[in-house]
Amino acid sequence: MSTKAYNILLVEDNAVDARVITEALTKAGEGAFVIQRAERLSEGLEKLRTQTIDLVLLDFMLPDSEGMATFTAVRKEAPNVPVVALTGVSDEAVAIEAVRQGAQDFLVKGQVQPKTLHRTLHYAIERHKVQAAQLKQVQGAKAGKTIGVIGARGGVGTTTVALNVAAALAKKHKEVIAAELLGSYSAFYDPFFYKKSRAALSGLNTLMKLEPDKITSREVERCLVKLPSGLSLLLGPQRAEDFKELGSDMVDALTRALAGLGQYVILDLQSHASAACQAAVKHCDFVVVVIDRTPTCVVAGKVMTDLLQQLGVIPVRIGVVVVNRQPLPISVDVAEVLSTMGCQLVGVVPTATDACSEANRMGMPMVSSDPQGTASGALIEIAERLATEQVLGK
Amino acid sequence: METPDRLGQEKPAVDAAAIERLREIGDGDVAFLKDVFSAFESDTAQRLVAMRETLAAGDFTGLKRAAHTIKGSSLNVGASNLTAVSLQLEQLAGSGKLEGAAELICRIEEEFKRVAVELHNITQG
Repeated sequence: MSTKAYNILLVEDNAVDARVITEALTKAGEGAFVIQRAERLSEGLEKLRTQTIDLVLLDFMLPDSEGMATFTAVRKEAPNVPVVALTGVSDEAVAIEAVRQGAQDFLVKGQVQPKTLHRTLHYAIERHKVQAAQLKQVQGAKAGKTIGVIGARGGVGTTTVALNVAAALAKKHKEVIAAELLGSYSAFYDPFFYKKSRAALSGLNTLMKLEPDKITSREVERCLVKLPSGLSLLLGPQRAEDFKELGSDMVDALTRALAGLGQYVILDLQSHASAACQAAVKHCDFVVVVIDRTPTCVVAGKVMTDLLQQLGVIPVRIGVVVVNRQPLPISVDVAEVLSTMGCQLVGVVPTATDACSEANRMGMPMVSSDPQGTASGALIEIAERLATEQVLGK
Repeated sequence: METPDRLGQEKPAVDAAAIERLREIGDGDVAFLKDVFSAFESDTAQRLVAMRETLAAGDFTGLKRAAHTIKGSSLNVGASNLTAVSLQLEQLAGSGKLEGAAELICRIEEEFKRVAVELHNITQG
């Protein structure tokens, strides 16, 4: 952590919230933060114009501005200053929208613990710095970026998220590859091919017969299945006789070869800490943890983020995608998800049972079969966010 | 009057966990607790006056804003009943309705008194 104190601008009209937040930042912050407060948006904008601010802690409901308009005004005034939204107990929707539109994070007022507050601000500032620095060199950068998608546990929709993100990226970018790194039954095959033929398509089954040091970009390219949409797939084995454990050497070789082929490589990873998965995340520029809103899944997500960090993935390169599955008996709100998991929100995918079935029937990802749907919209936004996020260098 | 609201009032007006959180934030500093409570009390008293005025003037936005502020402040001191009633009023005013608002303001006033007493006891105890 830096020894220089950060200048925090707290834009908050509520005297009690301001007092508590200031205390939490100063007392336990041990001089890490210098806080100044503005009670109105106009006052906040004035300070942004005249001073060097490292981060804005922004309440959206101010005497002279409400809701997203508050965020937009700050963004316009200071596009290069990270913003963490302060939200009330019942205003989560606005906060999620703000994160979608570029806020680094949000905090629920009246509930936030000092430790969470510190961590959130530090991460927000550091993440913003890395993004800004890398953004400068993004254009022209040749090597493909690798995004890992991993379920907190099985059955949360990880493959659906991975395939749709890849398909959404493929609409805008060339050379997008979705790869599944598993030695047993392919999860990619059925969504695309089950109606068409049961003939096994070449993919990992072929590559797994080679020694890791023989895995080159050229070999991998031969085993990619190119779809008409432009998306390429690396399929897992489809027949029992081809099933085989993927070793970490093999995964190292595969991920390297894939990064040389694709501008974006989306890895669908198994939700348990297999050797393959552990090796793969080390090559990822960003790792998305997919969860649903059941309390047990959120806890599994927390364990997964801990595991990723133990494997050396730094916190700012981990994000969570929340999938709203069909009516759940107990549903955890997003703020709690983020405070439990201690990582940033990449997006929330709304329930889409019908669109999902239709996509399966048509043999294409939802973003292609139902591009106007709300779930597709969310998945496209996630892809866009990851496209920006993934500029983080290795 | 044995309404569900009445039952709600049987629990303390202030949640111990929220006070614990404040103690933790202030690192045991009693002056900080007093500071927060006094900010809460003076601000809420002001907003109650504003509520009466905005209601009389039929000013939904002003009423919603005052309720929103009390909601936020009360959450900090763990006054959960007060938070709940303020949220109700915020939503009512937000939907452009004033029927029932006067009653909610009365409940906020009453609950505020209970909270003030409990907060006073905390800093004295």
